[in-house]
Amino acid sequence: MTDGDAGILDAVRRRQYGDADAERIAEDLAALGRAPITPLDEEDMLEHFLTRLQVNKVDLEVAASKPEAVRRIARFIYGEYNSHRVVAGNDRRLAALPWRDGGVLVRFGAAAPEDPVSISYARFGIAETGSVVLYCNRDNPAANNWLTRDHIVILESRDLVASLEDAWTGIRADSDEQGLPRGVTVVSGPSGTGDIVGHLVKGAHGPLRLRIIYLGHVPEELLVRTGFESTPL
Amino acid sequence: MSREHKPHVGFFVSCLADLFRPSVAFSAIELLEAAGCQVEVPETQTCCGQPGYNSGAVDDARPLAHRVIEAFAGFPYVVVPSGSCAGMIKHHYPKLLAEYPEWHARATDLAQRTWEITSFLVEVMDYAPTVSPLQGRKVTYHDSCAGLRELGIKQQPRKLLARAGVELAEMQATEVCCGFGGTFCAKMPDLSEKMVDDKLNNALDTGAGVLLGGDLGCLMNIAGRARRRDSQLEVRHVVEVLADELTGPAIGEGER
Amino acid sequence: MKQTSEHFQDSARVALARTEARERMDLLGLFMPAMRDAAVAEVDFEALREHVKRVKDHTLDNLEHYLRQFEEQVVMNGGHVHWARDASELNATVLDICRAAEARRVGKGKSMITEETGLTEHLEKAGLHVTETDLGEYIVQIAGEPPSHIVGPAFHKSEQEIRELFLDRHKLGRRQLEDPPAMVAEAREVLRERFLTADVGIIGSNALIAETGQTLLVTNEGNGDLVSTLPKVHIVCASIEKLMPRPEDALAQIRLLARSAIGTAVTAYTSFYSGPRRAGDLDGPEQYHVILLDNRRTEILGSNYQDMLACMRCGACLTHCPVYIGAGGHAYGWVYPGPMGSVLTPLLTDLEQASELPNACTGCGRCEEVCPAGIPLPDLLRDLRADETRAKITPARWRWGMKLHGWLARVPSLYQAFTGAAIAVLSRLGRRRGGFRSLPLAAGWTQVRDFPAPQGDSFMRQWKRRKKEAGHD
Repeated sequence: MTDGDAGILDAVRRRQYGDADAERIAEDLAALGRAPITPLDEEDMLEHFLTRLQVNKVDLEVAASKPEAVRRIARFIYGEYNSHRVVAGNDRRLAALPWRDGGVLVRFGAAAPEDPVSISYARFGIAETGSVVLYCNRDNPAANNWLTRDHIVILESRDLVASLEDAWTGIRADSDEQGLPRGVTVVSGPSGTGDIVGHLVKGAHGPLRLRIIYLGHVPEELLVRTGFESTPL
Repeated sequence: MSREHKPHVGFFVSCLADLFRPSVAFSAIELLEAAGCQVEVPETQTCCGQPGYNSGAVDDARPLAHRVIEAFAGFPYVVVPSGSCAGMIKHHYPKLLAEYPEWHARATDLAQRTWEITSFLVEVMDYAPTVSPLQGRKVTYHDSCAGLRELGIKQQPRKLLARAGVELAEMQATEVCCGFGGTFCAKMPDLSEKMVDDKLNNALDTGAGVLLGGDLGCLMNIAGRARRRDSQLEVRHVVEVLADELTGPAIGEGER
Repeated sequence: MKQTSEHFQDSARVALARTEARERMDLLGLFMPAMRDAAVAEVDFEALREHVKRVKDHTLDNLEHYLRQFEEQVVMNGGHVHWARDASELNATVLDICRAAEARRVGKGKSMITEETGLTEHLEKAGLHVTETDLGEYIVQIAGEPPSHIVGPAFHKSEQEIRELFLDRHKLGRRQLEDPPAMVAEAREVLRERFLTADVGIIGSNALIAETGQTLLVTNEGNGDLVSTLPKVHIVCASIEKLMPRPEDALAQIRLLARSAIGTAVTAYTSFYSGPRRAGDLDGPEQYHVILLDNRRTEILGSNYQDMLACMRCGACLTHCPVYIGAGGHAYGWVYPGPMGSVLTPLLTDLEQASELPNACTGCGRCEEVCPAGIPLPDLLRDLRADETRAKITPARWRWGMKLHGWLARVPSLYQAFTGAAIAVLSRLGRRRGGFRSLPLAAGWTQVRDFPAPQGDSFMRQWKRRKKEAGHD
């Protein structure tokens, strides 16, 4: 719904330089092309991603299989909260994980203020920025991204892409099928602030920690080179 | 080299050199001649128009631009011992005259022929000055804003000084403005004071006894503040050093 | 917001006299540029800003088309679009929405547009309880001050000032708040309750995406996402120049924005929102409103100041400006400080009242050098000074001084005779000492520095003499 543009559009039309029609505008826009960035090679992608995660102060665990991912999550929440409970959205990929075998009790739904840990399943990982792309929809309520102290995000190695634009290409493909979700968010670290004398503090309003469980293989040597520790189960 | 092959240079004095420090102009001319140029000083030149242009009196600046364009017509090279005046001619004349096609074309032509002195000596003449008496003294350099950002002058004076055997002790924030800014320093003296103090403190922190630069506006500002604070810092234009013109008092200094 | 730009110099003097605050500003002016430089070195800055500038120029040249497209998409996504010609229309629209939703509590994310319109004050007067949730904005809100920087609103406050503020305003008993993490933790607890009980969430936007009808929001704290998610009504306030054609264009801009603003490749959260909750969603607002503000942007469009509409509010020109670092943000006396503020304030408010601001510039060009939108800020400031001269806002002595100089310098013989004589006198008077402690007509100069004496005769006099002598040889 719209309550009328109050003459603003007329004023804009009178002042703007262009007078092209929609078709011509689309052509001009297409001619502008993409942002000039140096593309990452396939083989450099993972290293770049890990380096960026380090810069962004993201915690990382690598799991070779889904059961291992669950066991790692179990160990983390038990170690931190002496608990087995987490909240997760109604994502089918999350529902299909062997939670019970791994000792995790999942409540499927939106995070409540008292939930300490939430789990999301990333739609993409972005090597350029060390980020994960999450949707805000029924599969992943927005509260799960921002309300808990610890946010755990599972990322499959095949969903890692090079650039922000590459991620958006995938988002477009999804939205052609299902329409745009209410929110698309690129998460690049835990919540933080520098608003008190420039002192960087994590956990401003959103999660204090962001933990990525990378489902796939990372050579031990690469892990060490990018400053992470391998943590055997 | 025969006279015919000597690059013909029209020398733009700049008003501050003309009025306050002729030794800068004489040094520059000496350097140009030593580098093998034939130098001429058109006597119809006055001011490039910067004061009016920068303080919003564009209508008063335009006739001065016309004057300069006419005075320097026909010279293959126009050389200026000031980054801001050279920037005014190269960078701002075409903008100032954008609405007057004939003048704009002449301004663009002049812009292409105009050089700041250190960049001319390095890039066109590849000049190597003689070893300077300043060799062995601690010297620092202030990058003037217009030269630096409008003309990309950064390495040129350093190259010349290195060739003259002068080693620089670089100060922190050498690329930050000294607080001169033309009429700014008179309109907003308190802010200007803070900026020139920062500059002076950074210069003194290097332990240097001499500060050099390529723009008399900045140098008079820094020297004037140094005198007010009873600092012994010696402030000079870089061409004076390159031409060994060091006998007279530094900027703002009394007669010895 | 009440404007005090006419007192720029007085306020700057006050800021300069506060030693501790001044030292903090000096650190800001040192570290922010260093961080920005390092972050920008990761990308081809020149090529990227050139690209973004071309996209922005294209968008502004076809703004009507993109605004219509955006409006259509928002409506298709189930949202409402409202148009506001000025501050009062925006404020009234927000209040109407709040009243219709029977709202009592409002949670705000950081938004310069609502600072521009004075929205918080307007809502509070109408009885609503408004909380700024960005930590910096929250600090200045409870301190009763305006922001001093567009990215770090509380950069001017010391750790101790903030500690005392929290101890006083948060009724939480005896405690130490020994360091910034302790203070952030306390603010987290206090503000959490506000997020959870807010009926309406209000936020600005870094870009409006025409193709998808999304509004883009970047934050580090996540507060903007919480106010966009938890309250039942979500209102986005943005000005019309924030349009970008496609999500990719906004992302290209983000690459420059985060690096220029805080020296990181991205902020923690880069979120695109496109409406109220969908069927099946477990959370999200029931209503989604976008208010598009003009507030004189249409006057800037198509003028010689149009480039200013590409400003992405990163604040790089502030921390790189030595005048801003000296004067502090509050001296500028309105919403936007520093070089970008010195251009915007006269254009969005009143040239006469803001006439000091375009003069608060040495033309050093550092702002233009780092501006990720490639805005020629020194040129625009110079143009504003020309407008001031034309409108006779510039003091008469300056205008006549420039006229006299221009007139004299137009006639070389006269100029050289006059300046030659004057300089000879000045030189005789000052040469021995080297300079003047005070000088008539140069009080601004001699207030803080000596005026170096001329060496002797003018160059032109000496040159002509030499030539004459050479001619007689």
